[in-house]
Amino acid sequence: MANSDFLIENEKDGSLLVKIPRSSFLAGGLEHHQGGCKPFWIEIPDFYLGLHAVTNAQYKRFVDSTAHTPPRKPLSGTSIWSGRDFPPELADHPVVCVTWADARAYCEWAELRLPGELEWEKGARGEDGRAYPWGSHWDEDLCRNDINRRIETTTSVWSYPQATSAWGCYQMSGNVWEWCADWHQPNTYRRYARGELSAPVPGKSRVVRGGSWFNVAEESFLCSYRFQCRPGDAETHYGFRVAGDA
Amino acid sequence: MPDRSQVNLTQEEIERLRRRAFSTTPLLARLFRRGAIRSLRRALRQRQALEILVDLCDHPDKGAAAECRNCLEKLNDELATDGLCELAIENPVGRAAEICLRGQLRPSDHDRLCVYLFVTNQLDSYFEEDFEFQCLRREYEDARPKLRQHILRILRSGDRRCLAFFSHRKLLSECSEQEILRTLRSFHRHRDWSRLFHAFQDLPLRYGLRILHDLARTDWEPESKEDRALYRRVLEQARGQLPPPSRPSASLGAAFESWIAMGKNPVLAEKEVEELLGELVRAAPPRAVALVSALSDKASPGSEASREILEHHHWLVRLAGHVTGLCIDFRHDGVDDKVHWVPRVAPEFPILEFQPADATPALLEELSASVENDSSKTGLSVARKVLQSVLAHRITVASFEEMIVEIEPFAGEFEEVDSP
Repeated sequence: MANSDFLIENEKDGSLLVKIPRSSFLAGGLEHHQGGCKPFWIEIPDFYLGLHAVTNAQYKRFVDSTAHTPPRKPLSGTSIWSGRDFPPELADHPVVCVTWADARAYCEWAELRLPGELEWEKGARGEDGRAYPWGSHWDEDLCRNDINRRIETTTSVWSYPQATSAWGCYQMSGNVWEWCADWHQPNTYRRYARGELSAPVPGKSRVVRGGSWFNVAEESFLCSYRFQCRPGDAETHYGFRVAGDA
Repeated sequence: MPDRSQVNLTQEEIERLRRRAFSTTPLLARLFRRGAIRSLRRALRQRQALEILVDLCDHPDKGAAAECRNCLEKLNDELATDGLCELAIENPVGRAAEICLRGQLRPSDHDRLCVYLFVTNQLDSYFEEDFEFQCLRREYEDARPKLRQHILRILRSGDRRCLAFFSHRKLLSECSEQEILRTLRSFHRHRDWSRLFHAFQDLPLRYGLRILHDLARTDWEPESKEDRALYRRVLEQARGQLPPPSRPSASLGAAFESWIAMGKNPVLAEKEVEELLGELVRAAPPRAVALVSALSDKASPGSEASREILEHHHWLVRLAGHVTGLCIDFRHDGVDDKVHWVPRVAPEFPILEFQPADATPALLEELSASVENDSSKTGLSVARKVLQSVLAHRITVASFEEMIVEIEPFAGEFEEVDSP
């Protein structure tokens, strides 16, 4: 995907990806769920990150082209899709009820990949270590959460445009938790802070980031909040966004 | 007249006939060849059959060559004639062209006829059909490189009638960067300071400050009183300053450019400003960028539409406003936005990119206010003052005509023509 454009469109699935340039950024945080270490500067190579989470309409292209299993019956809550179709009014909502393997299969089909945990955090946080994509202070009106969703669940991936990250990515907080490529290990960020950048060893769960419509606590929506989920779980508030090499 | 005796040969049959036509078998070759020619004459609508017959026209077997030439020169089947003329167009100095000329054969399609007449140097006949180059231009655009080169060779051959092919009138302000630079070079070369000063008033200050810098080194002054007053004022304001160097903007990229291009399609171009703005409120970014692109052709910088875009909640829409020149804020030197990419993709110094033709009295008022409160530290205060003078002049003089240039890209010359 060698490219210098600030924004690209992936032909296969129509994903729009914005460039996150190579630079140092402030990662992690003192709390256990933020990595349990003093925030540290770290540089990662430039890459592309999905402008928004993968939508139902995009996922249908994948399901129709590959005969992959459509989104699954969730562990709790109601299925969004009925068989191989979704309600048309949810075309631009993020696809949910997908496992980590589903998300990875989608990425492979689209010739893209899931973002690494650090990549996701840089995409959300910018370079300046801000707490939320939009700045330092919590504002429940700037993302889809359990306080403002009323009786709805997800919302359009283009909603809350005033709350994009510094790179222009939509909904890095709220709407759906997003699968990352990495295994979740509690000590990962402490290792990173020491300069040990090897990938986390396999474990029982994968990293998810960003908080969702299901969450209330403002901590869940922190750019640095590291949550985890069993890779085989498919939930109504878990989705994903794509990434690609620059 | 369609020839009903024509048949369609298979690839295999054609190959077999080709082998027979060029057979070198002792004693039998001539016999084989005659047989092949007979068969090929019944398949004249097929390109390969025509090619073999054309090749045979140069065969040492004089009888066979004469038979082929005779057959081709007297073609009376429309499709076969078209086919042979296509071979002539592809190689206008080859045997097929020679046969067509001798047999006075012509393609049935008018556009192809024009190309055929032109490339085979039948210029008198060509100009009877296409004296304004309408067909040739169209065909030239789609032609393969070899044919384009041949057309260019004829265009440059010295026939004065051909010079008009290159002429194309355009507003200077709508020319490409390359065309503008070529125009300015031409004015310089001819020491045509008057037109250079006119260009200064029509072009963004990125060019304008350089023009003033050059004019300041001459002893020229405009003849008219009004122009002279403007000239003296802007020279005084600019004091030879060149535009500050600006970093190259990041590439817009194919995706963003395709959205901008969508805004130029007739469906959007026909919509009114209010309708476009109404849709802009709820459109997702790709569509919204196209709407901004359409608006940039209808609304002025500083207008209500421009302000709405400048404050739009989607950053890609704000970016579109900056790159299309619709959004300009004279109060600031650069573009400020909370999203990293907006100031990096937008022009670094928008004031240097402002098109004087977009000036409105309201915008002039805004600019004047910003000149009064100027706290620029990047040397752009000069640009503000000069632009204010130019816009005031354009808005207040009795009549201001934009410069029209006649583009001759191959001659490398631009000449101004009188406004119609």
